[in-house]
Amino acid sequence: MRISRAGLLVAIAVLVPIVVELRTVLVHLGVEMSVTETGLLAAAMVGVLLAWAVAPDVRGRKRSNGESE
Amino acid sequence: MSLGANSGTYLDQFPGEAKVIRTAFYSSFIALGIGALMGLLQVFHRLDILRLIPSEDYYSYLTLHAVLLVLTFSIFFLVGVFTWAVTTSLDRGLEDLRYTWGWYGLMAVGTLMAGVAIIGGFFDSIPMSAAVLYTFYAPLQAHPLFYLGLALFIVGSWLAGLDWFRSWWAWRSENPDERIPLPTFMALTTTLFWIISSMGVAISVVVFLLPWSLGLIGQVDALLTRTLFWFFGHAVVYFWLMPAYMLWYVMLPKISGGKLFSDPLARVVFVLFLILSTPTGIHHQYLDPGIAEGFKFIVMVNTMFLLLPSLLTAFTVVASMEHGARQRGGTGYFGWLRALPWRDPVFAGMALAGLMFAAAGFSGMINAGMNINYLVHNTWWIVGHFHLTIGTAVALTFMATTYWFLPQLTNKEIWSKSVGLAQVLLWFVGMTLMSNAMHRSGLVGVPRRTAEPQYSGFDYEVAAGSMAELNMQVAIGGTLLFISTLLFLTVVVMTVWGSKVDTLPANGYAETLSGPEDAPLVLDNLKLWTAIAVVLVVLAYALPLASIIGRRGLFGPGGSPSPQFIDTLVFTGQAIVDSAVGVIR
Ligand code: HEM
Ligand SMILES: [Cu+2]
Repeated sequence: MRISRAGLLVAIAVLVPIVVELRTVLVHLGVEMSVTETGLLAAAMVGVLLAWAVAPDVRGRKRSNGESE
Repeated sequence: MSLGANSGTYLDQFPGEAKVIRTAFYSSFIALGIGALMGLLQVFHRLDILRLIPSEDYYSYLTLHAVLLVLTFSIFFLVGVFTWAVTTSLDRGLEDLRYTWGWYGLMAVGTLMAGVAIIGGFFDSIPMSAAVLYTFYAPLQAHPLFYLGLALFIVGSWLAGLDWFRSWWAWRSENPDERIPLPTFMALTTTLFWIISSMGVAISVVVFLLPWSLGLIGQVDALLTRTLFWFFGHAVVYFWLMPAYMLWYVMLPKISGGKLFSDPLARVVFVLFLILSTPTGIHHQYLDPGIAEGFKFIVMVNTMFLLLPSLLTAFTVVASMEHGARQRGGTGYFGWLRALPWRDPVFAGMALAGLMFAAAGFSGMINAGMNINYLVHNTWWIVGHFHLTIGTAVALTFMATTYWFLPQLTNKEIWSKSVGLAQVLLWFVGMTLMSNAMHRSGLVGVPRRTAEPQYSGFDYEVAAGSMAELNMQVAIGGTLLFISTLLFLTVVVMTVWGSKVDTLPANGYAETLSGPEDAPLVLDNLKLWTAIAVVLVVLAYALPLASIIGRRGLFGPGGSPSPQFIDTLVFTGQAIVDSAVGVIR
């Protein structure tokens, strides 16, 4: 993993305000999303985050976090 | 830091002081538990999900919620934190623990008195109530016990401040040439503006409201007592916030594995708060008739200046975190973020609290603008705003650092760091949902401080989504926050329940990259800064207060005539302010 499990959890939590605010921003750009659509978008974003987290580090950087989880 | 002399946990170093701090913390946690329950009940009541009491009694809920959370929870916790800060950084115990228990006792008795008066409002059989909200605006009137309790509580907090000064005076006579250690400097500057500002509310309570509720005087002036309340009401916000700032400065860098970026910058920030906290209070009264626009304009300028120390803080704290992360091997523009100790609830909680405070800063700027304020005044926007500041930046920082303090004060290990992490994350997510919906409801005019915000034959037109969705967001958010509080209390109880260990890290706080030797000496001149603070307060308040008293007397229209010299003062002052504002415009 490129990020510790705790780090991943925090990143998912931080996605919540981003999704919530994004929905309002999009309305002002003329894109209305229902609650379900917003939920799906959030799920997709978490999916991308997970994929990034578990994908091998292409640049071969050492995992920077000392924690062994 | 000169901590080498005696290592070990805080309890090992200062057993007597640790006991006082522990007691203050436990008092604050009891208040947090009851206050959070009230919060949840308010949410359910307003949204008509569950109504345990008739709507007429709703203000008793709201008073209990706010008084217990913003006065009891925050202030009991912060006197503990400052006591820790002063004793640790001066490396000496308090001068006289009986005195210390004395101020703790005053605060505790004061809280109990106020609490009994408020809770009396729920029961018909108790002839007492204090459904006056934490702002106790006249003509709302509470039982005398409430005002008396508040007065005792405030006096207790002054005596606490004096305790820290006594420590410093004693230390200074032994170390005449040394700089004030940073944490002590922070506690002392905060105490100074706290004492200056709470004079206002003390006068309002002792001279007007208490005699009025005792029936000794027939009436009070609503505008004068309000203005005296807000004389204190903005500074009290910084009284809650300064200990959180201090923890961000002296604790967060340490937990991140680094050092505080700059000690001088931190001192500048606290000096700015000392001089600017009080002459800004009228920004809570932009909509009050009876205060001239010119005065409000001056206060708006002062308020905007206050953004500066907060931006300085954001910079220093993030820089210190980055330094810590790079010490731990972090690299890249953003990659260093991954190297931070996210698993540690102390760190994660403080960092997320700081992040939410940034959001609060943006909504605060809206509140502070005289013109846009008209849009959000007295709506749920405001409630959304301060649940980010005091309700998260402060409350979450306090909860997170409890996971560091509690082992220091008890020699026991935190029961479960994972539950701690879950707790701080739940608070963050819950508050995101609740506060966001409150802000957005406020924009379409949903009022605060009402049991029944729904009107028949009228629908709020929400810009995005629907009102039902916003309400749902508040309900879910409020529930998550309540669960988070329960988790927090569980961790505290289970930790205290546990047995002592001797593997805990030693007491201490962050070292600095640029230390006090880089800070100009004048920064430590507390007399100078206090004098400037008083001058600014006089400039901001003398004329508005004189003009209120001049027009309405001390006790409001029909109460008593106003002395002639006040009229003269008001007339001259008004002319000066008008021409000054004319020049600026
Ligand atoms: C369990 C978490 C919490 C929930 C669910 C909650 C909920 C609420 C709600 C719904 C209101 C608005 C009521 C109205 O306008 O009619 C409110 C007001 C308030 N809350 Fe909270 N809150 C919580 C935590 C906190 C915390 C931690 C603090 C501060 C440390 C706080 C301080 C206040 C204050 C000062 C008011 C204003 C009271 C007034 O208008 O007089 N709350 N809260
Ligand atoms: Cu304010």
